Amino acid sequence: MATILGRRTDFILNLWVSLFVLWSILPVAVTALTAVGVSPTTFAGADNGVSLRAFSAVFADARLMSALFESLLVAAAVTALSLPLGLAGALVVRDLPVRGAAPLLVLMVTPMLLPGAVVGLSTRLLWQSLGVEGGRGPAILAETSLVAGFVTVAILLRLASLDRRLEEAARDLGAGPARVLRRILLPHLAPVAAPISATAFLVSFADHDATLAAGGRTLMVEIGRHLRAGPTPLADATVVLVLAVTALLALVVTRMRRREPTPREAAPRP
Amino acid sequence: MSAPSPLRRAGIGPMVRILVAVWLLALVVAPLGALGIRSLWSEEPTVVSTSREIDRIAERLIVLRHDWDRSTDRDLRADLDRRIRLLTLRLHRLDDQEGEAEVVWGGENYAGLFDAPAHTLGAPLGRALLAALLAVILATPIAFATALGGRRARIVAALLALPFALDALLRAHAWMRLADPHGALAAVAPPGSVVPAMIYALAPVAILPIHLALTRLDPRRIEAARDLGASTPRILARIVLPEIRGGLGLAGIATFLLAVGSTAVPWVVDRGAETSWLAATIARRIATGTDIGIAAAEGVGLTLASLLVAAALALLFRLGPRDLTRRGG
Repeated sequence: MATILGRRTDFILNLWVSLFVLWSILPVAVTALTAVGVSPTTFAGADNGVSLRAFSAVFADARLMSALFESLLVAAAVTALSLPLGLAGALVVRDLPVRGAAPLLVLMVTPMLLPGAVVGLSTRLLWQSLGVEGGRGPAILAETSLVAGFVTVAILLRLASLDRRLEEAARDLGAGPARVLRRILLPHLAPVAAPISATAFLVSFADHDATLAAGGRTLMVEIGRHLRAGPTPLADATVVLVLAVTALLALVVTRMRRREPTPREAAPRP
Repeated sequence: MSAPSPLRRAGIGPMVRILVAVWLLALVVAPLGALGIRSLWSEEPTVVSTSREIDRIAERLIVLRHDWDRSTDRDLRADLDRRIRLLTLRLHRLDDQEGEAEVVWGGENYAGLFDAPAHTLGAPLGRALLAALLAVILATPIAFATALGGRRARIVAALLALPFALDALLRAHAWMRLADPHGALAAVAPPGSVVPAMIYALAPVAILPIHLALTRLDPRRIEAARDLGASTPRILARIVLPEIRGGLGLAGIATFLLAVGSTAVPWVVDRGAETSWLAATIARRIATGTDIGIAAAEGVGLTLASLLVAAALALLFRLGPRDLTRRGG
């Protein structure tokens, strides 16, 4: 299939892809080099030598470490809040006629379309008028408004593969809504529960703009403060560490996705 | 999907609907309402004359205390004592007043947006559009390479996996490492310009929608066209482009919205200096705690303008619900 577009086009395509890959990797490679104290232009060690000192400095930085803890706390809260909201949202949207479902769905994903600073500021202003100053609470709520819409869409996509006749049959046989949820909907969603939760957690963990505007002090906000101060080996080492951890998590999430059964396996149709 | 029966709709359970209503009200509608309301008032310091009065009294007190030090007469000292006490009391009362501010309603906060809309709104929107356009142009061939299968797709995906794992903020920093004055590429990419950093930060976002659109393309259609003698440009224009039109539109809208709303990238690029990236200006106002009303007005303006541009892009690419729901197969 490699020559599907013709030999000459293929050559241009290969060249383009090679340059793009180089362009993508080069800045990260330079950052990794400077993190260990190697000059990227001369490949010579810096004055104070090649070392992993910057990496141990990251773990010794009390503010970064407490920000990491804050990030984990906030991301756990956001995940715990947005999963039930997303499930409820998906159930409501699914049972509405398209004419009613579309505007509701648009409202749910609206925060994802807005500038992060606007989402954070508006949440902060609402709670300020109720006497709660910016900080952890507004940050959690601002991030939840970003994540819940995404969870809704993900659950909707999964529910599309569920045979509605199963629910109808259960209801005809006298099952209440709670029972249908427990025995049919939740088991059908079980295979995607882990990847959706992991993605929700990651989105919350990686958010910078909304959290900053809402007054949160998560790891990304703290790293942003470091990066704005200027390029330092500490900032470089932080970037490399976050890169390694995110790559690892992304790998785990893709593995989870791959293991999830196809719709055909999950809901056999006659 | 069959039309839902009223019975089924009643079956959801009211709890679920209440939950959704609370979510949309508390997390989406009310915050945006608060933003809109906050953009409509500003705090005016009570009066400048208060601080002038304070200065006058403070000066008078210095003179009186000086007199008190010099005088030896008991009656005069008692009289000065009384006057100093009264003035000090007055000073305290004025000091308390000075911190207060008066709320003034009106469109004052929007003045900056309306005075120079081309500068405050137009410049960031234009730059974000440019960044989105270039990111999509860069990303389209990459989507071809990853979507059209084969060994190459796997190699490209593996090579891109690592830098793509980085968040926009961190990608911007990595880019600055390259474009830094002391960095490796200072001559090629001048530091301090947001657009190249933005393209670098957002290119991964542009690839996915185009990739998904291309996976829907049946390779047999291209083979058939080639067998019938069509040239490559003709195949691209007549078969590939119409098929990925929706994907290109989605990629453009997503990168544009992320670019125009980004605080992190412009902040990292200009190291806290002034930029005309409005989202960064808003974040800076929030950080300093001053001009929150203006920040709210700028937030409203930026939101409306960027959604308007996104809607125009959707019209331009004739995006419909079909493009959003149709899945690869």
